[in-house]
Amino acid sequence: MKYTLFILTVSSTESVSNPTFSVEGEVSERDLDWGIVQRVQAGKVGAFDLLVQKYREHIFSVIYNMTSNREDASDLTQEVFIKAFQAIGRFKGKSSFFTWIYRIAINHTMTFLKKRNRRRFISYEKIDEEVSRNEIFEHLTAKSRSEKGVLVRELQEKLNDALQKLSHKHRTVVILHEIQGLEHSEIAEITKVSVGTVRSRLHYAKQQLQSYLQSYII
Amino acid sequence: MADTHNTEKELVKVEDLLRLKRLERPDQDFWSSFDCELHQRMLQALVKKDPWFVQISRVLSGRFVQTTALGAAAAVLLAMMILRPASVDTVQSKAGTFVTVQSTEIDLSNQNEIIIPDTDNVWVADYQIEAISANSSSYGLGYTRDYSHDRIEVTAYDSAAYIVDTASFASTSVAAGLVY
Repeated sequence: MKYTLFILTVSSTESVSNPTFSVEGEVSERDLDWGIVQRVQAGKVGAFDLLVQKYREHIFSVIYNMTSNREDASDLTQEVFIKAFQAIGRFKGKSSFFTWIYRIAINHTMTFLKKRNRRRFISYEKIDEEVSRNEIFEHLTAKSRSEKGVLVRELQEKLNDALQKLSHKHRTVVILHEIQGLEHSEIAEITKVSVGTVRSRLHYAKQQLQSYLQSYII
Repeated sequence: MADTHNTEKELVKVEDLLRLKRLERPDQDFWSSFDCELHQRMLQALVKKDPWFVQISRVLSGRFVQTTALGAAAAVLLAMMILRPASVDTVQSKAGTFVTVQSTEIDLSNQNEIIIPDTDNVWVADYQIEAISANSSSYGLGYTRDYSHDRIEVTAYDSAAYIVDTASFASTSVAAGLVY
């Protein structure tokens, strides 16, 4: 079993940016969210902004990778938080807020994708400049002998196309595990399937992606 | 050598490529406009009313409504169980008068004599009860009695059996009411 140690950073204004979770402090992180939820339920609706600040990038990332459309991802992320705000009175804390908001995001995105059917509207997000310094990218550049900028765009397009070729449920587990870094048990809780199902979907999805991205695998 | 070959083969895996997608993220300007738009939409959502069918489904899915409906159904069932046996107690006779069924228990174990209640006011007897008895008028006839004074009833149907039958009928009705 793999354990990953994270560090939680809390500023003096109680805003939380890019939080991560410690194995020992996992309960305290959940308690922190629950405390904020209780404040919102008590009427201090401004506290909801703390939860938005904390989870907006994660939720946006999931939705963007599911849709491969920046504008849709922005709209859907806002709708997810509005839904969560409207339903927060019914949130009992049986699961963590983290699981709950992820579940809303996945379900809302699935509904959107089903309505959109097979039509695909691609709109790529910007890529951080950090990618050019990435070790993996260095290997790819060395292999392809292409200019870095061209390779970046090409790789982005190929990765998004490959993900879009997967079914919704396979794409979900790949995004949650490989891109969001969630554990199998967390993914199982969010998607309400067994851990075995998560593993099998992940295995199948990686096999598919390997065939789609064969030219980039060294 | 074999290890180096394997290492070179595994320089870039599918997982590594997917993790590059973590670097696809918007800048701070995006998030500033995102927050403004979100606040506006949240305020609009507070003002906007849901469609009527959404409101109804939200109300009907509430625990209070479900509990109330369950309690009302239980109360109706209980009322049916109590009131239904009471309707069996009054029976309309063929003559058109209402006869009250007595549900008193009759102990038939040690009785030599069956006491017939006053049927004029209560019962409508199916048969007249005749009693043949050896009375004192036989003493003057010149022979002694071999058997003691006794009442022998000659009836095909008596009121005691009628009471028992009626009680069993009422209990059957109660049982039927409980079943339903």
